[in-house]
Amino acid sequence: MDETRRVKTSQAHGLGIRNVNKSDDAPPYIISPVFIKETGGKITPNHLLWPCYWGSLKENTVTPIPIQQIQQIAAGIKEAEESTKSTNRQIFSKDYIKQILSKLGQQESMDGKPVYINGGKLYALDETGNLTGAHHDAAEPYTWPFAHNVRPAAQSLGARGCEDCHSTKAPFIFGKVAVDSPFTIEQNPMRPMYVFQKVSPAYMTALAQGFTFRPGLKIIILIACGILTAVLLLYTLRALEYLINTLSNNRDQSKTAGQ
Amino acid sequence: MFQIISILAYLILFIGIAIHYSLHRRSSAECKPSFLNQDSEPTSPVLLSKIKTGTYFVGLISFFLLALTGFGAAALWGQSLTGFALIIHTAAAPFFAVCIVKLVILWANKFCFTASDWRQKQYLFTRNTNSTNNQHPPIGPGQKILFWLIAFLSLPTFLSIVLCMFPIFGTEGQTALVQCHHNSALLLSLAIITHIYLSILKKRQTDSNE
Repeated sequence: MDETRRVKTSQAHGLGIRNVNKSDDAPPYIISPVFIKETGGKITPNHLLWPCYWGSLKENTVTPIPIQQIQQIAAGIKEAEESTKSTNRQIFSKDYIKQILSKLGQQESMDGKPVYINGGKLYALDETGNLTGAHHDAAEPYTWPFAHNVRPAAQSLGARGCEDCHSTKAPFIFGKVAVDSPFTIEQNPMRPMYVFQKVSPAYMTALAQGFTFRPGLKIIILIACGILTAVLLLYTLRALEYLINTLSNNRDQSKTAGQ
Repeated sequence: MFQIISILAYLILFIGIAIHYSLHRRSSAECKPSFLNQDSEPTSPVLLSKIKTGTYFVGLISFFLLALTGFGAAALWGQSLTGFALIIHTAAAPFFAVCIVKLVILWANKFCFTASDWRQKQYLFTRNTNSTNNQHPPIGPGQKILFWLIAFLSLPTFLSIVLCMFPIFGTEGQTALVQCHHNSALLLSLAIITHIYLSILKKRQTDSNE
């Protein structure tokens, strides 16, 4: 139920197209729900979109290059044979990307190193002219919390028990988020949900496995509480009995003394 | 707020223990009360004695783990219990609960209040060293009060947190239960530390008298 999937939002339908495209493969690829830890420490469900653009890297900051500029450069480059094109998705060959980056680098107007942001990575040409991908803040996904996270009680997280979240199979923590992009360079791996929650996978696994023993823990504690209550009650009654006996003895003694 | 309360409570407790220890050392050098030399506890069978000792030490270890993880985060960093400390806390909790129950069952009779507790209390207040009554029990009334206090405080400490694990109460109810767990656990830990201190003191006195 909480596994991530591609969704379409009302606003996303109108991005650069004349009509509504209901195809599953239609960009933008908005992935949801992705559970992300917010600055306040709360984990909220979010929509997610991986950035995909050409840019120039200067002082570790990436500035997007207008698409028209890229169109002009790309028009003169013949796509390699391995580049495939479908209705909504284009798979670029590495050589194609290399040629565009190389041409961008030759342009006088280029301020900084030409880069291509795609699939959660920043691609650039190294000293030897090879295409290398690296993680960069600019390649991190855009996320935004959706609605008010209001669901019917039966569908809410935790309605079916702790294992809704605390299980090694729970999508809430161990779900996979597709690193998706309309232009694919390489087969990108899935990114686990716990990365977005900034938690250690070892800790989350240990915590989730701990919940296997949680019913046992509850039973032990409840039995302990029951026995403790019984013992306390028993000795309170004994104390009460002692008190009653002492008081009645005192009364008897005073009566005898009075006679 | 709880951070300040717990730090203050522990500070007061440790200062109190230090003062008591210094006063006790001075007074015990002057006079050694006779009742502390006696051990009128009926000797338990070897196996039962071993069970008691084993349970006591497992209980102590689990208590220190619980206190360190529980109050370490709250008192030192002012944070709620999370991470591996939480896993250790929940892992140690059932051992502590079982040990408390076992000790309460095994020692409830031994820690019952008797008429001699009243005499001992009077002795402690009057400091009458010429008292001829040597029939004092080995366990003082203070220890007995602490024993029953520990047994009593264990109940809200256990119940409040176990009820939190059931989807019975709403968010506000769970917050109140966690608050209850914090406060009763603080009182329980203070009682246990005082009990440990008095036990060590008694053991040292018994050893020195022997």
